[in-house]
Amino acid sequence: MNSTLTSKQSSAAFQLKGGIYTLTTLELHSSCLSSLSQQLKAMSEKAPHFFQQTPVVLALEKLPAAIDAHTLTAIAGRLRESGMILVAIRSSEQYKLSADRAGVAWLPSQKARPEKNVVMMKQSEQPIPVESHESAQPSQKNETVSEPMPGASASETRIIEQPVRSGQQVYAPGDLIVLSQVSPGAELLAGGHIHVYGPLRGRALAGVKGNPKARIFCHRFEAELISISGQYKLTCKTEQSSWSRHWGKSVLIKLAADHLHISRL
Amino acid sequence: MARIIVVTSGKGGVGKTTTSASFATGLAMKGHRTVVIDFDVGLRNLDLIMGCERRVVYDLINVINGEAALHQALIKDKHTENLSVLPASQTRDKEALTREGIQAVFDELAKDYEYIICDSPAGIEHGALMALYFADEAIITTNPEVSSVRDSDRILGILQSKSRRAEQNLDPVKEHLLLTRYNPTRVEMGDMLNVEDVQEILAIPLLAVVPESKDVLKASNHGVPVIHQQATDAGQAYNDMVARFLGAELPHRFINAPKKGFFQKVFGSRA
Repeated sequence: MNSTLTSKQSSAAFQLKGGIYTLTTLELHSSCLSSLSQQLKAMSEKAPHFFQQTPVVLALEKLPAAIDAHTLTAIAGRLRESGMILVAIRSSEQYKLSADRAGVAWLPSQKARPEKNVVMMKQSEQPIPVESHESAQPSQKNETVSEPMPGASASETRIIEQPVRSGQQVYAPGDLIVLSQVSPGAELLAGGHIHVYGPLRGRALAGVKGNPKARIFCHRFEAELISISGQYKLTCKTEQSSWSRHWGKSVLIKLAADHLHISRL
Repeated sequence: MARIIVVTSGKGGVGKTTTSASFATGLAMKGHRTVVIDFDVGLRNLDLIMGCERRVVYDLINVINGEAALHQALIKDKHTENLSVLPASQTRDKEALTREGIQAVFDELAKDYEYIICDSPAGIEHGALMALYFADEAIITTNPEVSSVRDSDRILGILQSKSRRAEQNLDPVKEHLLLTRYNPTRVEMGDMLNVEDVQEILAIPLLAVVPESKDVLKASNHGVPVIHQQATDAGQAYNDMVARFLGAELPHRFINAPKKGFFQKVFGSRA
């Protein structure tokens, strides 16, 4: 249908099309600028490139009190500093004008409904307090840790004994050890190494904080996707590559010269 | 102490309601006081399969909201002693299912019944979550087909994380795999996943394999749970399932295509 339209109006300078995109929403819970900066900083340290040029919708519904245009501008500035690009403000009508002045779109508040994803997020965020406790120990680490050692601390390591099922996401700030299977559609994320002592059929992302030395070990390689420090590879059994030879085998995956390498264990 | 058993799958149309009806009937036939509850609020089906749709006056939601007493909503099964049906509401919204309300209904049912069977709706939304929340055991109904297996895997994950037993750190929900609509001939042709494939992915103990059968549809349309028809493969498979659930050790049947076996001689080829 689109093609017929364009052929008829070949002289038209543009064409409007609808599109659905997934956007990150930053839900502001406090108007305190310093705590916002602190949290943003902590997040970008965890995943340095994660927010680069990420379009973000700023949601203001959860704010305890109204904020003025000045604060709003300051908040927008902080987001920009951390690499995010503010594209819209989601709020009640009172911020419509501020959004217009800031040159971003305004979206009406969404009706509150139980968000099932939130539970998931909280689960995967659970280990974070462990880490902050870690950095609170003075002599342990300097302010600017150049590179987190893979598997540096045992307390950051997470051991999962049950199967990781489809739709589940498990995160460990350090190493992640799974003693059972990882189903298709499940996702493992670790700051350090990933070990799976069973079939790995889901996704495994090691070194997510930007650690190219992280490795993935698994007893049976049947993964959907593997990634180390952002370098990823979609894998499948029928694919014609050196990887398909290792399908179902016990393997080690590492990053060398920006390429993922697989080898038999 | 009553055992609460959820029949669930994630995916729709795999045979949850058929299974709930036959499983509950089978337990009751063995002399256990059993109640089967339809959790599919808005899409009432269980009463049709159980053949009691004309006797539904009050439903689960009425009881939860205090609009009817539990005994008013419970329907005694006409075919089987020891068996009652608690139908779902067709007109209400599933949001009316509240954890507290269900807890109260279960507490009252537990006084009279040994087994409480919850027929879960498809999906992983509120209704399905409510159906599985209180479960002690789960019957994961799966078809030998990739999407059904994937959804069952998802439901297993939810049982591990969002059930009452998971939240309160009790012993985990006991999981049973029930493979339904299994067609050994098509499995041999490679059209369907085989039992080992499914078991390897889900990694839970196999309770029974129910073969694909015309008798299931026929029984559903007549409002008689297929377990009553003991001359059929499906009826026998459900019988085995109940016996195994109650602790009997039986070899698995209906896994291989009927070539020259005893069953083919008796029932003819149904593949």
